[in-house]
Formats: sequence, structure tokens, C-alpha cells
Amino acid sequence: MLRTKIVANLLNRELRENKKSLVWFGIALVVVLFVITAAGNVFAKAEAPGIIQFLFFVSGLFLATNSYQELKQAKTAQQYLLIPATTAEKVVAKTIIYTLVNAIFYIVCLKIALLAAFLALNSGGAQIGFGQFIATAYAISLNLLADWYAYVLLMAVAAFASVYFRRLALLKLVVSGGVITLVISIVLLTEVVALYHGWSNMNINLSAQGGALLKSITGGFDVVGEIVSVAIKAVAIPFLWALTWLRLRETEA
Amino acid sequence: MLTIKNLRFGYGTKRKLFDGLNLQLTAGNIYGLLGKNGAGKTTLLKIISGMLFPKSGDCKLFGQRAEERTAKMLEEIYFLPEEPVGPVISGSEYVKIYAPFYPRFSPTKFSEIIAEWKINIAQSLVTLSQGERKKFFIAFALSTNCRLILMDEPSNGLDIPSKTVFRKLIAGAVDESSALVISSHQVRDLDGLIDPIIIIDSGKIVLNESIASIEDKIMFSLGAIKPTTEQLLYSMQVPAGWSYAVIKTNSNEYGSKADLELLFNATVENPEQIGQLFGRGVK
Repeated sequence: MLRTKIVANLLNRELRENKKSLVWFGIALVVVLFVITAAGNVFAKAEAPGIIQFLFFVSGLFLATNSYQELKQAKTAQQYLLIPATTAEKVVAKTIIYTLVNAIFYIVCLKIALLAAFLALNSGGAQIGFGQFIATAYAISLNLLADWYAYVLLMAVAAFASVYFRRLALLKLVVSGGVITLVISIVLLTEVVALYHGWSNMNINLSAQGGALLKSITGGFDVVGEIVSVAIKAVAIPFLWALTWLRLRETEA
Repeated sequence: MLTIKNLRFGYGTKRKLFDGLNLQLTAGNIYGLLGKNGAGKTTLLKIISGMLFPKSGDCKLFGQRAEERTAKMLEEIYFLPEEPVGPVISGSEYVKIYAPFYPRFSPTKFSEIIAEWKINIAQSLVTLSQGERKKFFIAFALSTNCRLILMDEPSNGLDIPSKTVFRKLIAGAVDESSALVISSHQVRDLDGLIDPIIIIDSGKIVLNESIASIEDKIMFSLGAIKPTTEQLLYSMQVPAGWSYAVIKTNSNEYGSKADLELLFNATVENPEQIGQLFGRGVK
């Protein structure tokens, strides 16, 4: 059973204990975003540069892979695990932090950077109206929200990695993610090529024909594929949260 | 309060620490958990608090399996490690954050202890000296009013005046609904404070008796010459002669009060004899 008061206490703990590191991280983020937005003059374009979205994911990933940082050391892990709250309450509080709070934090840093860029560009002689500034800030935020599902999914993976690996979670996540992607790609392409050309013709140009072959196989199953895709999307995030809960429950210190 | 039945635990597959350990703790006592280095005192405290999981057997705290770490159980237990670490926040902020998790936390009690020890709680916990930090966490632990408080080497790192205050605090820390377990090598710091005494050796509880029961059966004394009686359990040379522990042959024999150091050495040297003396085998 989830007790909202306890979750609120856990959130209070997270924010108070991490406020200094968050402030420093925020300052660094604002500086980087200011340079990107001012140098690229985002106000002159209709859409946000991709690097802002990229940074949104990277900064989120960095924070989420450190979300269970207490588990890195036995002493801090003991203190965390002994907090009188259920594992579910601890997971919910962390989830709120790495999905909502961190995203809001990024957007706030982005707005500050945009405001600074707006002021800097205008003082440098550029003629950017306030309405244009508001429209740009709004459009960029909408762009970020368009990728919300992917963001939450990636953060859920990162948080699970933080509980699972405990130390160097980001590095281990990137390496294991890379290896898994590589293995799956090789297996899939090999299967597809073998299915249509036989094992004797394995020397064909995989990159040129692999994609076309895959499309020809799945082409007839668009509806089924769509249903499967939606179903996977619906369960993927809760599944990762459940895995995180299970792993935290089994954690010893 | 706590029941441990047939507990087995080890680090890895080769290093067995506990093999069929049994223990029962009841409210209203300050238990002294004694043992040699590596005997498993800290490990036992971690198992009780649900930090480590037994390989087999049961460890039930307030009727719940300790490894489940339910919120109800965690509200009733506080584990003070030998070297407590705090987050990078001030002591007062720590209390603001963590006290709400403990339903019976007493801010008055906390303020009184802090005032007695003169700890600056406005200072960041990480910048406090080890002794100061320990005093802060002892104050916090006692103020939680948890029903079971586990302390691992609490007097280590405390200066002499702080130890005096510590003894005073511990003496008044337990009521009929709560218990305290203190694991320590510093038996002199706990003399007259801990009762019953639990001695752990080679993965077993070799003694779990009250001071009264111990003094009823063992005589602790000091003499000019080393006793040669068959009842001798342990003796050691001291500046004034020989300090020794012998099994009483009749209840009229009178010795000094239980000497924890002698008792500990006597127990780990003669676990079987001690087991028989108290009417059971080694637990």
C-alpha cells in the first residue's frame, strides 16, 4: 500500500539531500544550453536544434543512472534501505524524481538559457521580439514533450541499471545496451537473409537487402505489428518499474 | 520481539558463519553482544535488521520475516553502524528529513541529548569528527523511540566524558516495550550496563544468560596465587595477583560482581563446559 505522506517525505529527502549537486549540474546545463541557443540563434528558426533534444535525453540518462546512488556504497545503502518506507514507496518516489522532476528541471534550465540567449542576442544588436521568444520557448518545450514516451522508457531502463549495477551504471548500461543491440541486429539480419537466400548465399550485401527483406516479411502484418507494438509499449515501462522494485527488494547491504 | 531459529548464513559458499544459530530477544533488556573479531556480531545485527538475508532458517522480528523489510518493521528498528555516515547536509536538516519517518520520534529527547553532548547540529554531518558524528547518530537513534535499537560498537571513538554521558543515556533507554542490543569489544564501557550477555563464537551462541544467573553459577575473584581447583574456568594475571573465574560448588560462595572480560575469555575457552553449566548444550 502506498502512503502519500511517506512518498512526500521521500521526495523531500531526495530534493534536500541532492540540492547542491543539482544546482551545480543545473548551472552547467544552463551554460551549455545558452551557448547552443545563442550561437545557433534558435529564435530565427521554426524548430529547435536536435542537440537540445539530445541533451534532454543525455542529462536525463545521467541523472537517472545515478538515481539509486545510495546503493553504490554499503554504508549509504544500509541507511537508505532502513528508511521506514515500503520498497514500492521508495521506487515511486525515485520514479517521480527521474521522470517528472528531472524533466521539469531540464525545461527550467532551458528556459533560463533561452532567456539569457534572448537578452544576449538583443543586446548584440539582433531584433528579436518578446513574442518570438515566447513562441520559440513554447515550440521547443512541445518538441521535448513529443518524445515523452521514449524519454520515460529510457529513464526507466536507466533507473533499473542504477539498481542492478549499483556502480558505474551509465557506463555499464551503454556497454550492455550496445552489445545487446549489436547481437540482436546480427541475429535478425542473419535470420532474414538465411530465410530468403539460403545459408549458401550469406555473402550478399546485408545492408542493402536486409531492410527490404524485413519489410517484405512484415508488410502483410501491419495491423498485427501495430497491435504488438502498442502492447509492448504499454507494458514496457511498468515492467521495468516492476523489475526495479524486485531488484531493490532483493538488495542486501 | 525477535526469534531466530536454525539460522544459516555465510559469505559465498565456502565461508560459513552461522550454522543453525538460535536466539530469542525479549523487551525490557539491554543485551550485550560479545564476540571475537570476525565472530559475526555485525553480520548478526545486519541479519536482524533485514540488511542481509539468511541462507536458511528464520529471523522474525515482531512476527515478520526481517528480510521482508516491511515499513511497519522498519519503523520499529534502528540500526546504528560502527561508523555512521550522513549525507552532505547539516544535523538539523537531517532531523527534519528523517524524523518524520519514525512515528514516535521525540524532538525534546533529541534536543536534550544534543545539549548534553554539546553537538553543533548546524554543522554539516560530513564535517563533524567521527566521535561527534557518532554522538549525533546515537542521539537520533535513542530519540526515534524504536522498540529495538541495534548498536554496533557505539562507544568506539567516544572520549571519556562522552562515554560517561553515553552510559547514562543507555541506562535509561529501555522500557518494558523496548530492547537494545549493543555489540562491542569495549566490555569495560558496558560493565554494569548490559544484561543479559550474549557471547557468540564459531557461528554459535555460546552464552545467553542474565548477569544474575551468571553470578549464581560462576564466582569471579581476585587472589594472590593462581587457583588450581578443577572448577577453574579461566584465570589471568593482573598487577595485584590473579583474577579468575571458577564454577561455584555451592551457592554460599561469594565472589565479586561479574567481570565481563573474564566471563568472555572463560566462555570462548570452555564453550562446552559453559553450555553444560547453564543446563544446555551450545546453542
